Amino acid sequence: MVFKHISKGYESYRSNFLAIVATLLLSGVLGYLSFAITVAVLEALLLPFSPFLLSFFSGLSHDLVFKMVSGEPILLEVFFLVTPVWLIMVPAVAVSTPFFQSAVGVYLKAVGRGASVDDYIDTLSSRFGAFLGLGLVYSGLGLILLLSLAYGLFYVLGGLSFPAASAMETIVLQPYPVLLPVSVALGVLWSVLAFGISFSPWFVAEGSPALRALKKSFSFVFNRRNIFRILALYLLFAVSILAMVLLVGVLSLGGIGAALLGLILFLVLGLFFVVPVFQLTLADFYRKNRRGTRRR
Amino acid sequence: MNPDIKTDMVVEHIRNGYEAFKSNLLPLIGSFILSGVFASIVFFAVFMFFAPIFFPAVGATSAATGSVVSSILSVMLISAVFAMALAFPFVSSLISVYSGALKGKVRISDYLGAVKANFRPLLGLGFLYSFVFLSFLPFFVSFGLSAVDRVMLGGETAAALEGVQAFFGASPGSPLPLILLVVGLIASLALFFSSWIVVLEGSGAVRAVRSSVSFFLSSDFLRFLPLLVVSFVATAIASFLPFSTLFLMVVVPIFGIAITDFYLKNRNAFK
Repeated sequence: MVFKHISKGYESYRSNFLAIVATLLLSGVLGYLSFAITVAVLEALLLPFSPFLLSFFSGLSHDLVFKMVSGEPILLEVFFLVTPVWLIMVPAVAVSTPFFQSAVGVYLKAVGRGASVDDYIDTLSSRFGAFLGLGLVYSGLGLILLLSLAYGLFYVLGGLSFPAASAMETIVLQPYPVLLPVSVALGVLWSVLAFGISFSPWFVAEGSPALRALKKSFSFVFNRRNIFRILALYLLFAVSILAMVLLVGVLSLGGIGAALLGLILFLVLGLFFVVPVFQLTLADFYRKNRRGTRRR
Repeated sequence: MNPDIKTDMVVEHIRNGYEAFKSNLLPLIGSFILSGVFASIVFFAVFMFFAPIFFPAVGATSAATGSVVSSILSVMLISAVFAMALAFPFVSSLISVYSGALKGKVRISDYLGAVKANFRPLLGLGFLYSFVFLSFLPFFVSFGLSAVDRVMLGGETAAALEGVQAFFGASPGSPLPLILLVVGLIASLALFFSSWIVVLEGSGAVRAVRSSVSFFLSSDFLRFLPLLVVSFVATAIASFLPFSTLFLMVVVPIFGIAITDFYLKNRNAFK
C-alpha cells in the first residue's frame, strides 16, 4: 500500500534525521555553488565576444521593440535573444545536477540499514559522470517546459488583457496560430517525459549509466503494477505542498508578520520535512519494486 | 622553556596540514561547508528569535527615554551574544575532523558526532568568546564607522554615528576603544587553544580555559606565534580574494590542521 511506503519514509526520516538534514544542506550549498561558478565561468568565457554579442543583441532588442510597436512577427528575434541565456543555463543546470541528485544515495541507505552524510559524498564521487549526463537531459527537459509555459502564459495572460502579454499575444501568437497547439503538445510531452524519467536518479545511484537509467526509469514508471501507485504518491506530495501554500495564504490574512511567519514555516517544513519524507517514501517504493525492472 | 615542546618549523606544520587536506579533500570541504551553514542558520535563527521579543520593549523604552539608538543597540548586542555562543560549537567541532585527518581517513559524520559530543562545553566557551568579541566592538564602531562615513558617505551621517559611538563609549578622543581592543586581543590569544583542549581532550570549558591561559602565559606560546601569524595572514588574504568562499574552503582546513598538528605534537605543554 502507498501509506506503508509513507510510514516507512517517515520512520527512516526520524531515525536518520541528522544525516538527512546535513545532506540536504550540503547538497543545497554545493549545488548552488557549482551552478553559480559555472555561470560565472561561462560569462567570463563569453566576455571576449561581448562587444560583438552586445551590438548583435542590442540590435535585436531594438528590432524587437520596433516590431512590437508596429505589430510585426518577431518569433525568430525572440529565439535569438534568449539563445545566449540557454548557452549558459544548460551547462550550469547539468553541472549542478550531480550535487543535488547525489542525495538519493543517502535516501536509499536510510530506508535500508541506516545512513550517514558520507553516503552523499560516496555517491557524488562515484556517480558524478552519470549524474552529469542526467543533468544534460534535465536541461533539455527544462527547455521544453519553458517553451511550453512561455507560449501558454502569453496566451492566458494575453486573454486576461495584461498590456505587455497582450502585445506579445497579438504579435507572436496571432500570426502563428499553430503555436497554441504546439505549446499544449510541448506541455503534454514534458509531463510524460518528466514523469517517465523521475526514477532515473535512483537507478544512477545504484550504478546504472545515465542512458540505461533513463530507459529503466521509463519501464519502471510505465509499468502497470507501478504507474498508479507512483501517481498516487505524487498526488499526495502535491496535496501536501498545496496545503502548505494554503497555510501561508491563511496566515497572510493576519498581516505582514504572520505572512512572514507562514513563509518561514513553508520553507522550513517544505525543505526539511515534506521533501525528504517524500524522497524517502520514493526510495522505499523503489527499493521494494526495482526487482521486477531488473528481471525485464 | 618546556623541553617537551617540539621545535617543528612552521612550514612543517603547514605541509602536514596540506598532506592531510589532500588525502581527505571531500570530507574536509563537506565539513567546512556544513559548519558554516549550521553556524549561519543558528546565528540568524537566534537573532531573529530575540528581535520580536525585545522590539516592543524597545518601542516603549525609546518612547519613554527618547534614546532609540541605545535601545536598539542593546537588543542587537544581547541577541548577538546568544547567537554567537550557540553558533560556536558548530564551528569549533571542525577540530575533531582536523585531528582525524592528521591520523588518516576522516568522514563528515565524525564532524556531526563531534558536534553532538562536545556541544555543552563548547557552548560555555562560546559565551566566553562572545564577551571577548564584544570588547572589539567599540574599536570597530569608533574607527570603522567613522572611516565608512568619511569615505563612502561623505561625512553626512556623522551626527547620527555620534549616538552609536557614544553608546559604545567610543566618542572621538576616548582611549577606551584602544584599551578594550588590546584587552580583547590578549584575551583571544589566551583563550585560543581552549577549543582544541575541549574537543581533543574531552575537558570541561573551565579546565580548558585554565590550560589554554597557562600555555599562553608560558614562553612556549612564542613558538606558536609564527604559525598563528602566517595562518591569520593567509586567511585574511583568502577572504579578500574574489570567490573568497572557495579559497577559504582550502585555506581554513589546511591551517586548521596545521594548528591541530602543533597542538597534538605539543599537548604535554597544556596542563
